[in-house]
Amino acid sequence: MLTVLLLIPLIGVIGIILGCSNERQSRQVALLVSLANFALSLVLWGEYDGNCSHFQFVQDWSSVTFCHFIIGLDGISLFFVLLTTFIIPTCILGTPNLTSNQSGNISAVKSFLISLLVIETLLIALFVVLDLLLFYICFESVLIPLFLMIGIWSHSQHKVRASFMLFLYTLFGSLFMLLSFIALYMSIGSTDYQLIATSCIQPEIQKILWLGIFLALAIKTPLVPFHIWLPLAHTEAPLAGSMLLAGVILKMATYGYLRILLPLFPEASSYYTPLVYTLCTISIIYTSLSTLRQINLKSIIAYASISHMAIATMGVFSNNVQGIEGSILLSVAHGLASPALFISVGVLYDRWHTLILPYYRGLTSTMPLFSLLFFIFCLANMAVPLTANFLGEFLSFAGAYQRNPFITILASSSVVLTAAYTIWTYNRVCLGSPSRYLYPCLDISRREFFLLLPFLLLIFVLGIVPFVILDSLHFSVSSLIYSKISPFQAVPMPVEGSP
Amino acid sequence: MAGDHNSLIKNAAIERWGIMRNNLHQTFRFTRATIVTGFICSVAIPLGIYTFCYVEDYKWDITAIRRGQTKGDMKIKH
Repeated sequence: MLTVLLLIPLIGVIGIILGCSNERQSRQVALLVSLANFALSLVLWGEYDGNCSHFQFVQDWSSVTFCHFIIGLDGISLFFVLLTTFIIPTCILGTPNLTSNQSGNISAVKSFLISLLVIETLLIALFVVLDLLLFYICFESVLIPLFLMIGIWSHSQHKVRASFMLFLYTLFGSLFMLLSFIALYMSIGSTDYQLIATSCIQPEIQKILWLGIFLALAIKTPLVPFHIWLPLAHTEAPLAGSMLLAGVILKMATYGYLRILLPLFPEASSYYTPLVYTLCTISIIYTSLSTLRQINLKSIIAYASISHMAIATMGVFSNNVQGIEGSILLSVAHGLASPALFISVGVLYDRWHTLILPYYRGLTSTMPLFSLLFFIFCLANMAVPLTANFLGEFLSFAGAYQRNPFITILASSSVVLTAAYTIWTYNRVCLGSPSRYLYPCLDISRREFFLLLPFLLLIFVLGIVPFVILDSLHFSVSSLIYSKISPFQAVPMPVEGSP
Repeated sequence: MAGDHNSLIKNAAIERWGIMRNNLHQTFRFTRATIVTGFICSVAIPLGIYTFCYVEDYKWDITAIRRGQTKGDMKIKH
């Protein structure tokens, strides 16, 4: 079934190339294929057994492929796959006027849709492969369609610079990750994830390899001081690119921490946790303060993403179940709230073709429904209770608090700073008298409303009934922390007096 | 879409502000103030936070207070 999940988008690619003669047909095929993939991923979720921790739906194609192609799904990767298959159709629906930038060039429209479907396959493959080298290949390959998406289909003047920064930053970090994987292969003799997970790597070797892999993932998260590429990429990318970046691409790093760093290098992860917490705290505070100074709407959401992903990273390295479950829940919640905010900004851009904040004011009087939806997504971004973001942040901080209370108190200043910049942004955009720079336009259309509605429903459903996700996660996360029995196991510190 | 291409009245000052903000990196210069600020923000504060984080890592169990225990019991003794 996992193989079908990987092949469906590729079948859509072939269908678009061979069978579509106009934009409408291409979009219909791409949408149909991505929705079919989403439906299949929901079936996978239904079939998934949350009471076991090992990989399920495992398929081994090593005998028929030239590489060690084994795929499988566990509780951690399941929700990243679901997020991917949910975001891609919304990306296709969120870009209605694909030909407007390309003067009706149908091949450009096809290329855009093909790149979206290829990204979907690569992202799903990244979350399900059980081989480190294939993980690296998928990690890198996602950059190519992203590079094209930002460099070609954006209508900003700095798009080339943004696409190059995205590409070069990530590639630079990935070089060290590849070196670490090669070193692992040389010492163990395989890149099979399950084989490496049973091996015992010396702590001193772990510390060196950990740094190489962490650099790549820190750039992808992104953490300060490796975050420079993200605001530029977000502001210069088209709507679909921004949604993908915020919704799924940043989660590749969280997945990498959970799949590679924690289980394969537990001693090094525990050793370097103060460093990670330092980077996360710096990221949270600095980017939150930077957000207060931004005047580009997309930059505000981009810097907010950096802050939220730093909180998720703190949860990952908390070495307890609450923190890790919170980080996964926050990743999923952020993967819903952030694209919704980008869609909202896209609604404004479609009407007035500017992202500069000072132009906007008093939209409540002319676009009340948009203001309401934008307000709700701002609340989600602020991690207000009843939203999934609140639960994710709370659990992440609760987990991190058990590890290092004082740094967590410092990092939790993000609650105040996030509220500050979010409320201030909403205040400037929607409240006050109507802006003298904007001619009144219609409120959000039916298409835009129904595009935002799933995000709204999911944010609140997951905020009210989080066990929908947490139940499936629990065994996988528990086995991540507790199952590996070795003399070098970095077990959670026992409470004094407990057996 | 619900808006035409002439629905924004551009303001030169706001456009200049936006361009300045987007191209901040081109006008950055190393002065005494920026060097001091950069040193504090990129070296001093991170070092301080790292030192504090390293010293306090796994040192506290805030949930340890129970009846009969003292505040000293919050500190994990290795």
